[in-house]
Amino acid sequence: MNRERAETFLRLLAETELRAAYEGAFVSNAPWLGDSPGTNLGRLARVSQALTAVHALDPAVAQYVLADLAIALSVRQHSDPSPVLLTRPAMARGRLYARAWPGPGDPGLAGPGAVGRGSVGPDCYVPLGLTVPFRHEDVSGEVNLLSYAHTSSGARFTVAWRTRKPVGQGLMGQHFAGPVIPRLLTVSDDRGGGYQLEFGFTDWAGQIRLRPDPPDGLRWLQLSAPGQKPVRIRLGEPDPRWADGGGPRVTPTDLSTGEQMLTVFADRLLMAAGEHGPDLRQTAYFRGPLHLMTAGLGDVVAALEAAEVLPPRSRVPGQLAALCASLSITGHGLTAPPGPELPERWLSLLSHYQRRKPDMAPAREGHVPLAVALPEFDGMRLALLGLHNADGQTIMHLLVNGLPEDDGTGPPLLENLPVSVWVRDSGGRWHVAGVEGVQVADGERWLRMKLRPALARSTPWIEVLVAGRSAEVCATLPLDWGYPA
Amino acid sequence: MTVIPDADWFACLPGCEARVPCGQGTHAVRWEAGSLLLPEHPDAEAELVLAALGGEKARCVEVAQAWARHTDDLSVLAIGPRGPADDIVVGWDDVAAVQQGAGGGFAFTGSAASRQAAWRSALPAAGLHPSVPAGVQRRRLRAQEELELVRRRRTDMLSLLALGYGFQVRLAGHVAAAHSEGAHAAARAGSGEVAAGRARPALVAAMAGRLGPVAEQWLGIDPDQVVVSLHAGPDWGSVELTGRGEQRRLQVALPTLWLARVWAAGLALVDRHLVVAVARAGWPDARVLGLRAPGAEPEPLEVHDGGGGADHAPHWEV
Repeated sequence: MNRERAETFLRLLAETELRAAYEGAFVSNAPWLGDSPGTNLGRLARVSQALTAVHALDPAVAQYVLADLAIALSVRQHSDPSPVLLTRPAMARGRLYARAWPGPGDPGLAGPGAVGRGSVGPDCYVPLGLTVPFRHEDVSGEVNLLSYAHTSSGARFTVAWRTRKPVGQGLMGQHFAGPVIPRLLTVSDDRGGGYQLEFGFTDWAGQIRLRPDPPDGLRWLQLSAPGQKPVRIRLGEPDPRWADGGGPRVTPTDLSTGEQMLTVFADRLLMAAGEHGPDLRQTAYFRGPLHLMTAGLGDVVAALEAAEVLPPRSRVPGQLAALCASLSITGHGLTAPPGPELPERWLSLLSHYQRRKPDMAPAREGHVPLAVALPEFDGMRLALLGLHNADGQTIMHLLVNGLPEDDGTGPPLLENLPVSVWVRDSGGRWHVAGVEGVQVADGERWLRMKLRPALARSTPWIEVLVAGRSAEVCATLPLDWGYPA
Repeated sequence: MTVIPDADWFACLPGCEARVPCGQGTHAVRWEAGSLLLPEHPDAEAELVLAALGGEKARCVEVAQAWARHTDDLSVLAIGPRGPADDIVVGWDDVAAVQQGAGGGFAFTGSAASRQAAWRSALPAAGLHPSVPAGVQRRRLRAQEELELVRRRRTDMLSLLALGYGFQVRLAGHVAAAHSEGAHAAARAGSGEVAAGRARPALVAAMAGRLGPVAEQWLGIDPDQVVVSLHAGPDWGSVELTGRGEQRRLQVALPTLWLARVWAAGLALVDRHLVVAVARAGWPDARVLGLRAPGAEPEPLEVHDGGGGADHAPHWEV
């Protein structure tokens, strides 16, 4: 990594933008809108976001460069950028590039962890698959407990839930479930201890956290609900599915920081394409968000090469160019010729999108208990805690340990998962996963990731692929679907 | 060819003067031989003491303090003019408007610690309410701190730009000279590479931003085709033209001090020569080394300020 060249690249780009402005070539009369890529400052903001994401540029330096350019533009265009717009949070708006893991040669930063061998330390994960029906006044429904997880930040159940609406009323939201659902359940342990339950969730899924934290050495927890036979959750027993070596498989990889960042960006682009429509019959209006996402991508690739975090002969820029071409995206500025070989998973999703009626049958509701800890890699531990279909979407629940701290300078975690997460179903179709929501507790992130396209409820098994810089981890998981009563 | 500077970097620059609204009237602010002078505030130190006791601080004194704060600030090079054609027009009304927009300005207290204490005490109580989570408070505090610094820098910069082009290029000269001398001092102390490395990206960009338009005038080359590096060594550097068509590049290696001694003095292009060094500094007469073409040996040129330069910029002729 060459930080001096990274900063020089950004500053020279600022010079080019300033010259364009004072020669009258600027394209907007509002050049200080840092999140608008069509403006002088927007182009610079994109590059600075990318360089700071790969740790090639100090965020404070990036802020100075952008603020200086904003002032320089304003005194030449006789306009006044609000000082609020020159601060770092404003500069980071619309951040598109996931923060990379610290590299091994980065001074002052911890290096990425080595690929683990399947050990997940003292953490405990147990799949459940328990359904608890409930009735409260005239509302009925059910809570589906997907998994139990006990980690350094505490113990929690991952749940999905639904209500059956009374005549004339819509589905009841979290204002209903929050106070009601924890009262439905009672949790005790083999030592006679009892626990308070705290419910935190979004939409139709969430976590029920146990207070106080269960002590070490417990043999089991017992879950009781009115009208249900109590269920014992045995702790500390190895998952028999992994006993014969059938656990997650690890394949070492060696991606550069820049390649990893661009690959994760491609995932986001593919995710967004499903929302905004790659269909060539769609108007440019519908493809507008994709053009916005990719504006300045050529600058970003050049900056990453200058910073020596993207090898000059990397295939990824060409693959990105081919992906943009497949999605009818222009104006990205990529100069690499479109690469001949796209990853199989990208091709799978593109072919799905380009079907005439790709999403005509919404996924039917269902839920799958999962509790799978993946081996540690890139300094991160990740566990799959369940999956459910609701409102035509498939949501996968994950717990992540070891993500870099967010410094609060942008939309935090939604863009901050520096790994690719994909699912291949039993029919060979690939599904990309994008972060939909995050809850943070004691350094752990509980993620809700949406799969696109949604999984059919008839899918008997899936492969989950998590790809980082140093490794790809793949786990084959049988899906034991539960259905709403 | 070895070039040994025989005078201060500003020896080719005449004095200049601007009028600054101050109190009930306007006062002169002068720059002469590398120093900023306030002829109508002979005892500025005493005025500062009075201001610290609650008196009003004179605008002239504020400007002088801003000048002193930024004589080694690389942002001056990033914001200031790239050449005479780069029109920056900031008036004192603009400065006043920005100060009012920033809450009526704030007093310069002279140290980072006391400045922080000042703005902290001015924070609205709601921002630090105990019910606000600690993490949110920290973020809010950091954002406010950052906002205040941004306001302050912007007000400073606008005040300095309002002095006009003559002062703008002289301040750029101060900054370039400070970093050139700083690099030499660091090299002598054995920490040269690290210290120079920190400022190098900003200095390369500053040089590229100013050499680009000059090269365009000199050779008709696109400024984006000018590749600049900082030259370190006793000779003047190098200027080479490479490639053809879109691959054509003007590779320029000049020392940081070129920005101060040559560019700030308005000497960059004289009589179709790119001036690469000053052999004998002086004003209104000097001897410089100029290139007629890339790759050529520099020629000594006797130059003279013929007058008529706009806004205190010399108009050099052979």
